[in-house]
Amino acid sequence: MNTKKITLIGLLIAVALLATYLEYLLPSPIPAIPGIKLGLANVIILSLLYLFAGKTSLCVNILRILLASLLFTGFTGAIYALSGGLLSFTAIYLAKKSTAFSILGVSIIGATLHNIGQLSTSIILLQNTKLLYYLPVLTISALITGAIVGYLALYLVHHLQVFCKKFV
Amino acid sequence: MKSYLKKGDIILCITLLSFSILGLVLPALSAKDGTLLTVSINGEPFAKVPLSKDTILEVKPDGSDSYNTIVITNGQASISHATCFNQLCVAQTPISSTNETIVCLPNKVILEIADDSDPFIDSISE
Repeated sequence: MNTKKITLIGLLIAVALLATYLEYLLPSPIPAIPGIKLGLANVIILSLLYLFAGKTSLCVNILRILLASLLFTGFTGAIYALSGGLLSFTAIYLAKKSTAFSILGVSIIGATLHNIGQLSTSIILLQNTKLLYYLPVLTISALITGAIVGYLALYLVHHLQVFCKKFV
Repeated sequence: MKSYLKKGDIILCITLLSFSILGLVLPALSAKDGTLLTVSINGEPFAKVPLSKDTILEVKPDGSDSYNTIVITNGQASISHATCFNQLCVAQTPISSTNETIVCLPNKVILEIADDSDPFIDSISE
């Protein structure tokens, strides 16, 4: 861990936090389906997974989830976000390891499992299985947002790769 | 930017798409028009209101000032006002069939529709 890496990661946590805040402020892009979010912060998480070791990405993910939810949505929000974030991170890590998917596929997997994680938490907390009817809509949105996030991460990794190699 | 889609990506997308389309079509086919609105707070049943009468029901989930205003008109139920931050429950379209729900996650309020095949229909509370 040298200073350059610490600085870069600190900056990226801040960017991820800002991205989460922005999405929280903006109204839903599709009015018919409330609650759809772009998940822009995952661009950072995903890129970090491809640039550094898994530990770094996991740390940034947990930190920005805790910071963002405790700042903006409170404890219940933290539980939902953590369940989605941790499940999706596990899936992303395994998907990348399997080398069967490109970064786009990994991102889609992450988005889908993030939604499944949050949906499961709400089903458990509210003791209501009818909420499962939301799953198809959420999956389609995960397909789209996952593809967008994956494409952005592709760009980020491509441009940061050279810079990061210098101090990994 | 070179495109390097792998086979796994294509399989993934096709699987997810088919699953989602099935998941949207099948419930739409099996939805039954309901006759009763059940309101639950925090997982506990709170009220059962028939959809046939136009009603306005104000629900206070916990002791604090938060509330949701539930409106039944034309045999459909919706939430007209709520104190939650994201107002997603207010934005939802009105529901009337057994597959549909309206949820206010911050206030932990769930609106569901039951039809006559449900065995327990007792009091109507305000």
